[in-house]
Amino acid sequence: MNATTTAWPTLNRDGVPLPDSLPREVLTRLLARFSAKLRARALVMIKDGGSGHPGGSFSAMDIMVALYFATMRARPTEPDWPERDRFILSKGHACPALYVILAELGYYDSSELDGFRAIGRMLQGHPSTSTPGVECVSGSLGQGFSAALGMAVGLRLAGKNEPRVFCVTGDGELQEGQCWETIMAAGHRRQSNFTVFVDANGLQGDTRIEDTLNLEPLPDKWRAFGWAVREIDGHDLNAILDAIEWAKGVDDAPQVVIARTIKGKGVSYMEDVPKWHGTAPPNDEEMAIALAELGEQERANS
Amino acid sequence: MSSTITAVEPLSLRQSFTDALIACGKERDDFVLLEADATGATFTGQFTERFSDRHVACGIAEQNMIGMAAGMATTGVTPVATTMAVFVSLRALEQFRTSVCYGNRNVKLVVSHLGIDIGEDGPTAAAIEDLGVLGAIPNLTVLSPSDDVEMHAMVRWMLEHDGPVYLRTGRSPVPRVLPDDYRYVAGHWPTVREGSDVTLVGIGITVHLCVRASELLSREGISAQVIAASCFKPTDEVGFAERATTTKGVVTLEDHNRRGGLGSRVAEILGWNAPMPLESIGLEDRFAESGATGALFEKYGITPENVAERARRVLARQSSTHTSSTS
Repeated sequence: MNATTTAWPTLNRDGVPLPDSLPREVLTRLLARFSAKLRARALVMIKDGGSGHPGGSFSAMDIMVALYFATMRARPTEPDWPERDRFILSKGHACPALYVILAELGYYDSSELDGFRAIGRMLQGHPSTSTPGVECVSGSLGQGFSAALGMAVGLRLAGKNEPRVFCVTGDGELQEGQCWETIMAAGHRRQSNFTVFVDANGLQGDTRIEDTLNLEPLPDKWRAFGWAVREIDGHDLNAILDAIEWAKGVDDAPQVVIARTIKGKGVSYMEDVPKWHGTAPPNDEEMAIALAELGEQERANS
Repeated sequence: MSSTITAVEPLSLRQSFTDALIACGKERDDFVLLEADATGATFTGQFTERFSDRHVACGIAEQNMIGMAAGMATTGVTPVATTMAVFVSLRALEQFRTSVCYGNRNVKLVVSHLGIDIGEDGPTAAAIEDLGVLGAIPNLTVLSPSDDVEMHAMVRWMLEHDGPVYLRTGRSPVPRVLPDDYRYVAGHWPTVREGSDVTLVGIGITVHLCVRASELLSREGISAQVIAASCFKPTDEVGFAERATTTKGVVTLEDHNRRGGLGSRVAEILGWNAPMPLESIGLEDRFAESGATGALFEKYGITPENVAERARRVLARQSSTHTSSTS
């Protein structure tokens, strides 16, 4: 796993993401490689921890990798750098994805990943502010989204016009009424420094969203609340990068990217299967299959 | 107290809060007022008129207001969120508990509409549980000042303090009970009147009613000390218990459910530190009703006369060989 770390020459600690000069096809291959590698690391973490949420971690991974490694200005060795871009994982149960990314970037030592959900260790079952790089508590659905908007509003009030706030919500999460208060407020405020990705994997904890409490048509709903809306394949890194560029260019509205994703993406037997929401880890045999598949994806993008 | 208590016209605690916030607003620009379409209740519109650029109207959307406050607090701006107590202490409770208090964010939550003090609006809008609910949340400081002097002191302290604070105001005008040079000491319950026979404990708008009760008792030759439970949480428990035990019994008075509020708090402090006879006055685990505030206070026993009566009872209990349970 360490071999690929050295292949990340520009993943530096000075708050500068991958340079624009990198050809797009090279960049997307690098990001795809990292997504596969970090999915594997997250799954090992969940297995070691004895529980966790692989499905939603894997559906959000490509979006988060694109944000952390190719978009956001941040300083892993100075997590509270005031000029940083903010990232909030409002669907906090997907924190395995966040934790492996933060460790990879050097916010804390990767040995912390061995203590996921363990007593006396840093990495809590859902994101907590005691973890460097975690901007706010999340995991009680809807709450991180509001906090993210509060950061976007606060940054403007504090006269900081450069930093952007990025937030990932789930689609199931949008069943929470608080989310619609937030959507209403951000639209009303034309909060243009605020970009939200909906990790729209179509599943929620128990079963399919459309069979539980339907949310569609999602793009129309957000549009009606005053947001700039784009819909993409949430595993197409090229499309994710394009959407980020598009969002940065919108100056009169908050932006939402409805990212159509697959829960459990990257592991064949998990994909689009509700039971891999959480929390039992794969058994040894399932684990071997998953690591083999993810390893193949990593090599395919080398 | 030896210091001077300047006589002023009674003033509501919500007006005192806004006065204090405006005073602080002239001195510092690091806080922002968040409100949820209840400025008629909170009186904070007067701040907004003066400092329109330090105000965020969140609309009738309290969950998002509290969540936004948690996020805003990380950007170098201190959010002071205001509305009626039920809408945040209950409706947006989980947002406050998790996003703000678990995250230990520097958010100030200031509430009006506490207890039957709200009068005609009735039980829907009257928070009679907030102390019990918020008193159970770690990291949180719960403040309930007694008069305008303490309100000003607490608002200043609150803006200096780095961490979540819940501050209670009030609707009825209250007279000044603390001296001009009063300084708020974190966690301390100030002695408002000295006395040696019995201890009367009030919180917020009931402190001055305890002072009046002490005056009634003094005519009978009973010396009552009055203590204000100004910092409901965390509390200098030993400091309170030491003063309580210089007397023979304790009476608490609150405009709140007697269960989970001041009566319960004092019972646990005394039980843990210095068991002694205790009587508690408040709502008897029931919702009240609409009505004029004064008439409601009479009907539900939140009066100086009732405090005096309970003081006599607690002293009688102390002198008997039995220790009866608090009714």
